[in-house]
Amino acid sequence: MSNPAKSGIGFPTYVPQSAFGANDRIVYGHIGVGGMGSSHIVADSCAALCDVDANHLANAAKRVQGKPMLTDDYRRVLDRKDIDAVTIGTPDHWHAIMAVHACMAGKDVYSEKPVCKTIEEGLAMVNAARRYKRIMQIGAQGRSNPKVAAAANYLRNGQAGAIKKVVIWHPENLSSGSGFEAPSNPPAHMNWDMWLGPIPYRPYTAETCHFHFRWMMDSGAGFIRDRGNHAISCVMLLTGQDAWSSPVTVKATGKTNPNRIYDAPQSLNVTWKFRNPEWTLEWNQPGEANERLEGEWGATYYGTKDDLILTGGDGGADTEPKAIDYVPPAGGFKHEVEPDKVDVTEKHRRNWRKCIKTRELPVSDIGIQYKTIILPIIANIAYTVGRELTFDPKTNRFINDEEANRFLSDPYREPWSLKGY
Amino acid sequence: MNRTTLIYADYGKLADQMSGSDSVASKAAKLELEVAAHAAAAPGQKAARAQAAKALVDVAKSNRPRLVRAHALRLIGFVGSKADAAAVAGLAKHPEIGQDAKIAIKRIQTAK
Repeated sequence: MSNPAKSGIGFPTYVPQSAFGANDRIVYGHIGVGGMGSSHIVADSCAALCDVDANHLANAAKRVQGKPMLTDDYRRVLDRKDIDAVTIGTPDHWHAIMAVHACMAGKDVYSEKPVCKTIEEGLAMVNAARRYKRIMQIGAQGRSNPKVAAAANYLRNGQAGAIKKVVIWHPENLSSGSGFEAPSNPPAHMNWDMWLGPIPYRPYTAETCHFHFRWMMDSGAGFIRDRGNHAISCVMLLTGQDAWSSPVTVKATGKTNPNRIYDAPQSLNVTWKFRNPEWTLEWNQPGEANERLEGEWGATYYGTKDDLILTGGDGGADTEPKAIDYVPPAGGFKHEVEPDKVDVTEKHRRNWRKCIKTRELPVSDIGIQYKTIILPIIANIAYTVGRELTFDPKTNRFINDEEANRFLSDPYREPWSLKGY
Repeated sequence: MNRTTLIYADYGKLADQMSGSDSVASKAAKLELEVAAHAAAAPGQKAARAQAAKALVDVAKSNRPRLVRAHALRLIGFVGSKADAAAVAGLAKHPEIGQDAKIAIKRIQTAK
């Protein structure tokens, strides 16, 4: 794969602009402020709000003190020298470009899940964070969840033995029903060309825009890459496989809803087979919850001595009493989460803010989350080409499949580029 | 998805079906084109892949609707050769599908 951070770029390396001032105040720009992105707004330290939907902007502006800059172009946010950090809460297809450009502009980044769309994008995000010495937290907040930490402590200290199989269950994509909405002119409050940005043109429909962009491969790619980012992030933490480095084989079968426009498979079954150590991960959508601990989605971890259930794995999660009550031994593995008595997503943001000041890697650093997002990305590729594939994380390429390797990057619509703006 | 192998003429028929006003049939044809193209591009199927690419180039250069031609270009990006990229290079300045042509060409040119 190409290494965007080593190629020509359009920015000098900035130091943090305000150096946080005498009172350690971090000044934020918030990009994408509908949906989850709206939850990240820091009302008393926001210099800019950005969204391609003017209604989102207007709603967000009401919550912010002072008069932040309002724009539908994230580049204007990055141009601001007084902004230290940005949050990115846009649809998936913007995450990598914005995050990479933000690093180039000297901003620290909190980007929502899923990390990115392609392998090339994930590598570019890692490279940009490291090259420009930026803190990049991904919004896979399970890593700030005390219940997830309890499950990790139980398993990582060997209470279930060696983990041989993990089975994730999840409901189907929310793409059921029937009917095709006729394309129309975008509403006046929407900059549709900017919404599309790097992805190929498609006509505006409400059913492929806010929230439902998730069920279109170009802009979302289904729950497997959306909630799957959360679920698989937890799996890799609980199994100690954040640094997995041996080739993985992936097989995926699924089915789209023939009566809706959506092209992401509504149901999807995936099996990944890992080596060194040998273990198997399954994504069953739909799948059945384990009767010992009900939850809309979650995973059962099967070890050589015991098994354990973790439901959820984002802001919400639960696990079994044996893990909640478990106390790690001195010197044993212990996953730390922020101690503040606030909700999990705020813990996750606080971890990012703390790391902005300490310059330590955050709990859901881009390096870890890139290794996570590889798995749903390659699953969707295996589904699309209809054959089993083997991916080598050392080369970041599929083995012996030239066509599959053409999915590792998605060329962008002009003028967008990971190299700069 | 069922894996299928199509002959040259089938791609045109599916492109016509995708061009129609029946949304369900159009989507089914779109998916079938995708399934067939990717099946043809599986390792070791040089002839089927070349045939698929040629058929898709002809769809892209036809006067079918924008989204049908754009879909053909997308698939050409995955299954096409450098010769196929050259064959659609003339579409790069097309006011509607020019960007789709450029994306296809870039995907082919950067393939390893």
